[in-house]
Order: sequence, then C-alpha cells, then structure tokens
Amino acid sequence: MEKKGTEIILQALKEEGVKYVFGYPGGCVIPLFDEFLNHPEIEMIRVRHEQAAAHAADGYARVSGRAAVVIATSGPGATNTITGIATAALDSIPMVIITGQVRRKVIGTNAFQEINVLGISRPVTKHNYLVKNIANLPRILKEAFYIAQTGRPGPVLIDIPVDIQTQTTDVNIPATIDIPGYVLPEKVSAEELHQVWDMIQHASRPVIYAGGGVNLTNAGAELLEFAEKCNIPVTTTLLGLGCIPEDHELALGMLGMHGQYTANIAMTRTDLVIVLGARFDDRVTGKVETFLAQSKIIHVDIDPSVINKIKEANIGIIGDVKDFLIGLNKLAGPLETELWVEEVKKTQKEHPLKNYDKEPMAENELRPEYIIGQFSKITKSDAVVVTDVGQHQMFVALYFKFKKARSHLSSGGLGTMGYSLPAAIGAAYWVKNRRVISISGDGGFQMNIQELATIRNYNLPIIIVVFNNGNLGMVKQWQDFFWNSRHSGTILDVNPDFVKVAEAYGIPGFRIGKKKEVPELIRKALKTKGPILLEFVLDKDAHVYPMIPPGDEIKNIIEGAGQ
Amino acid sequence: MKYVISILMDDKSGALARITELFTSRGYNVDSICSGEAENIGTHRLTLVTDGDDQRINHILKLLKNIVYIFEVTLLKPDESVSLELMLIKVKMNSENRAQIIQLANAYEASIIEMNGKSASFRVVGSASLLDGMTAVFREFKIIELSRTGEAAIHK
Repeated sequence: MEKKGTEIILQALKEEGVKYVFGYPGGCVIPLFDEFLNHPEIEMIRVRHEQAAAHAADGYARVSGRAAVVIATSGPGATNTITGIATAALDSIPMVIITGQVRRKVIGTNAFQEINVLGISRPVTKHNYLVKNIANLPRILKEAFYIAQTGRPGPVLIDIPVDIQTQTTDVNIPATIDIPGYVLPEKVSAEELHQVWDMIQHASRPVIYAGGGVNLTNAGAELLEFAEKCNIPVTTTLLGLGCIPEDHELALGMLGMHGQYTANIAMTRTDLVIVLGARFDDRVTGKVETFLAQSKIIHVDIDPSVINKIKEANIGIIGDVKDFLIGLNKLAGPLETELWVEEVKKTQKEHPLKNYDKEPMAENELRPEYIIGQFSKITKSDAVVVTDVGQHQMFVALYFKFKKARSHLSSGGLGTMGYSLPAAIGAAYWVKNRRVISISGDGGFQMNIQELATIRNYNLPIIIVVFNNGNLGMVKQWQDFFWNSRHSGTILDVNPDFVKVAEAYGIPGFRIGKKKEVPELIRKALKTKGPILLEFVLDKDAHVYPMIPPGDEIKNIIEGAGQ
Repeated sequence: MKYVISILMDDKSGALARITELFTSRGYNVDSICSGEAENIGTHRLTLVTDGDDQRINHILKLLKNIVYIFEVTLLKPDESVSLELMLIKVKMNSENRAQIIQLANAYEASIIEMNGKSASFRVVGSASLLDGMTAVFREFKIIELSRTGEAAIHK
C-alpha cells in the first residue's frame, strides 16, 4: 500500500516506542507537523526554541535510556539544534533528529531557509542522512534508531526534503537491520575476564573509576556487587554520579578538578585502577603525564577508540560495561584490601567536604553548598536533579548525595550553559513519582529562559532553581585564582527580576536570601503541584572547593579555606 | 613517519566527507587520497597516506572504523603491500633541452603522451618517492602542469 513520507515517519516512531517528540514548526516541516494531528498517541511537545527541543530530548533520553526525537525545520531551525546535538554527542546520549529540508529541486541554490545541515551536523552526530529518494526513507528511519541506541550511543540526524514528506511509496519499514560497516563489539571473552581477575587479585590498592558508561548500561547493581564482593573503593566521574549510592561506605564521590579530596588522593596511591565506561577526560586527569603514573590500568569501554587514547591500558577491554561486570562477578571473590580501604576511610575522615549544615552563617549569608545539601536531605535524594554549567554544577556534584542512576543530568563533555531548563522539560515527561529539580546560575538560566513558557504551557511540575550571584561564577573563580581577579565580562550588572519573570510566565516565584528560609521553601516547593521558581540570592564571591588547578598534578589540590 | 591506510567502504555519499572531517578536525595532514571501485560491486577502496606516529595512527584507525559506512580499515606495511601512483607532467621544451628531457623521462620509464616544439607531456607510474624524485629533477626545466593521483595500494 502506498504511504506518504510523513505517515512512514510516524509509523517508524510508533514502532520504536516513541511517545513524545520535542519540536518546533517551520515551513519545511509543515507536512510532518500536520501528520501528528492524525496520531494523538504520539505527543508533540512544542518548545520555544530548537536548541531547547534538542536538550529536552537529551533530558528524556538520560532519564529513560531511550532515544528521544527532535523535529526542527530547515535552515535556522536546524542550526539552532546543533548545540543540543553536540551536547548529546559529547556525553553519548541517544537521539534522533529529524530536520526538514528545502525541496530537492532547489537544494544547493541558497533557497530560503536552506542550509547544508548534513555538513554542519557531521562533526556532532554519530551518523547522519539526507533522504534523496523516498524509497530509502523507511530503511533510514529504522537504521537511525538502531545506530543511535547501540554501541556507544549518540545522536543521528535525518534531513528530509519537504517534497519527500508528501511523496508516497509502497516500500515498508524493514523488519531487520543490515548495515555491514556497523559492527558491534563481541561479548567479552572468558579469557579476557580471567586475565582481568588475575590482575585484580595481584593488586593491593585497587580503585574503581566509574564513568557515564556505567549509568548508560544500567550497570549500577553489578558494579555494587563487584565492589562489595572485592571490597574496592569506587570513585565516579561527573556523569558516573548515581551509579553507586553516595552514602555507601565504599563511595569516594566524584574525582577530578573539583572532585573530592579523598577520591583524588586515592588516585595517587592506588596500584590498579579499573576504569569502567569512562574516557580520561582532562577534567579528570589534570596533568596526564603524572595521572596514574604509578598504577596499572584496566580500561573497559564499548568504544575501541577510547582505549589507549589518553592513557595506555595494561588491559583494554572493548565491550559493554554491564556484560563485563556480570562476567567478572562470576569470578570475583574477597580480596585482602582491608588495610587499603581503612587508609582511604582515614583520609576521608581527615579531609571531609566542609559541612555547611553545621557551619555558623551570618543572617544574610547564603552558601550554595548548604542549599544543595538541604535539597538532598529534604528530598532524601529521591529526585532528578538537572544542572546547568558552572559553579552550581560542581556544588551539586559534591553536595547532592545521589543514590540512583539516571537522577543526575548534566552536560559533562560539552559544558553547555542553558542546558538545565529544557533538559528538565524532557526529564519531566519520563519521571513519575519523583520531582525534577532544574538548577541554573543566573547566567545559564537566561540562555534558555524562554522555556518557562513551555513549562507553563504543559504545566510541568518542575522545581526551577536559580542561583543568583550576579556573575558567571566559575569563570570569575578562574579569574580570581589565575587572572589577578580581573573580572572581564563576568559580572552581570543587569539581571531581570527573576521572580517577576516567572510570574509573567504564570509561574509562582520566590526569592530567598536567608539561611533559615531555605528548608521551609524547599518543602513548600515539593508540595506545589505545578512548576515553581526559587531564586536564591547568593554571596558574589563563593568559590568551589576542592580544586586542582587546570593541567596541574593532583598533589597540588586546593582544599579551600577552613578545611 | 609515513603511513598508508587502506579503507574499504560502502559507496554511499557522506563516507568520504566523514573521513576527511576526521583528519581536518584534528589538524592531521592527509598527504594523498586515492579512491575508486573495489572488488565487490557497491564498495569503494580508498588509499590514504598520512604522517604521524604509531600512537596517533592507531587512534586514527579506530576512529575510521567507527564510521558507519566503513567495513574495513588496514594499515599497509611496506613489505606486505604494493603501492603505485600515476603522475602526469607537462614540461616546457625546446630544441636545446629536448634530448636531455627525453633521456631523463626514459630513465623514469615515463611514456610520452604529447610532444611538440614547445612542450612535452609524460605519463609515469611508480612509487610516490620515485615520482617525488622525478618532479625534483624536472624542476630544473619549467614544469607547466603537474597532476598526481595519490597512491593506490593493495596487499601483495
């Protein structure tokens, strides 16, 4: 039976189990938007900017583990999605982006709203397609979801000329996938597992360094089983947060530039690091030459190009982290690591994170660490926290005690300001029975502030938190530390009244400037059924500690005042 | 050091763009690219010559294999492979240097495509270094036009 291009697209979405699509209309996607009216079973969430559509899809994918779908029109619609696509690409988040394109006849003529989206998106997509023949559309749709969600996940873009959307074909969506060049890694072999276990048994001071791959493969339970069985401490990357409960006795918290003291120091004393689904990001390693110079490395990742890229591994395993851990747990048994774990615990006791709950504070002093701590405490960490980028992002990573995977959403690789608010929108469509808390600074919040309209539009119960210190805190911190406090460009002299802005969008807003008001307002927000905005007016000069200066060695870690 | 990489890929648009993208985005040089139909219909073989060190090349090989349309990526070792390149060269020629130019061309086993009172065009096939050498020698005369295909390579 002949079907229209748009009907095939909707059919593919349905077959892939897509329930929500995040998009923004425009000339070259009118046929596709029209088709959604015939398919109320798939809801089109119309945001207010295409970048937000991509971040929303990203947020949905991070909490659900499923590729989410973005729809944007040609030209500026497509280019607006690029930051969102790049954000997903850098953090290995599955996503399918459908962009409209001008009709085939005028491609290449600089037609109205024509841009070479294939070329622009190539560096930030795992794969991309321009559909030139409707007969290929069914296969391409099937392949796009498969490529996006298998192996190392990532965004796949399909550029569909508007005339193909209305054309018909009798070609069906294929039942099977046949992409000869796209080969997934084989299962980790018994021999490899024995080799790994042998090396672990010979280690006396092992550490597990767990990254986003553990969360992406939902391998938290397997990781915990392994760590407990062998009594090995676990440190996580920013994207690995939540893979092990932060209050677990083997949890060292985040490592890296703003990581916890003990996590970082453990990396200088260990003799074997088991790296799971992580990629030795420069924010983790600092100076690469000295990082783990004394230690052996077992590196497990699904992407072969990650192994030996930054640090040579003694054993490199290409494969799925979860499969690897399931296999390893069959071999693993108790190790004699008591002394090592004791040493680590002692360090932890001697160098704890500063506890701002107990810290005496002036009446009008409001520390971000304290606020995050209160959110963690009052929600019992049973919430999804979506951060933006900057100081607050690190405060969340340090002070929110995550207990579950897929509860912490943050742009780790690209470091995209403006991510939080739209990503929280996506998350809100998956998360039930838990609150989604979006936290931004006053800088990042204004980068996608228009999404307050989307939140009001769909009445999403998001707790919108703005940390207002009147400056771009993280960059200012670098200027304070390394540029003689010359604050070029980082002071936001003029900010809107965020409470009034929220109210203008029909969202209740509250401003908090005193410590004693914090718990009460958090409780109030949690009781609110719909969206609510909380603006915290913070000290302008707070710095994030600990900090390892960029490119420096771990031993030069700055613990911060009073620690 | 020079590396010759052989890439077997699907004959689909976008594959070549992703390969060149991979090199340019990292600031790596491509010395030459030579591409055409391969043994199976619908597939292309691309021979790419680049420089670097072992660590960088090993990383590049993995990144290339990650490209969806690429089936196979092989680093060709000089002793296990043969690589050849075609060069077309047109030089200015007059009655005084004619004999010398033809003698040199013969030494490189170049064949004459066209010759007249003002110039001569040659076709020569050989290793890239042979062609480099011939180019250097012919710079003594006036080279009017020069075009090379880049090395094509297969296993012995």
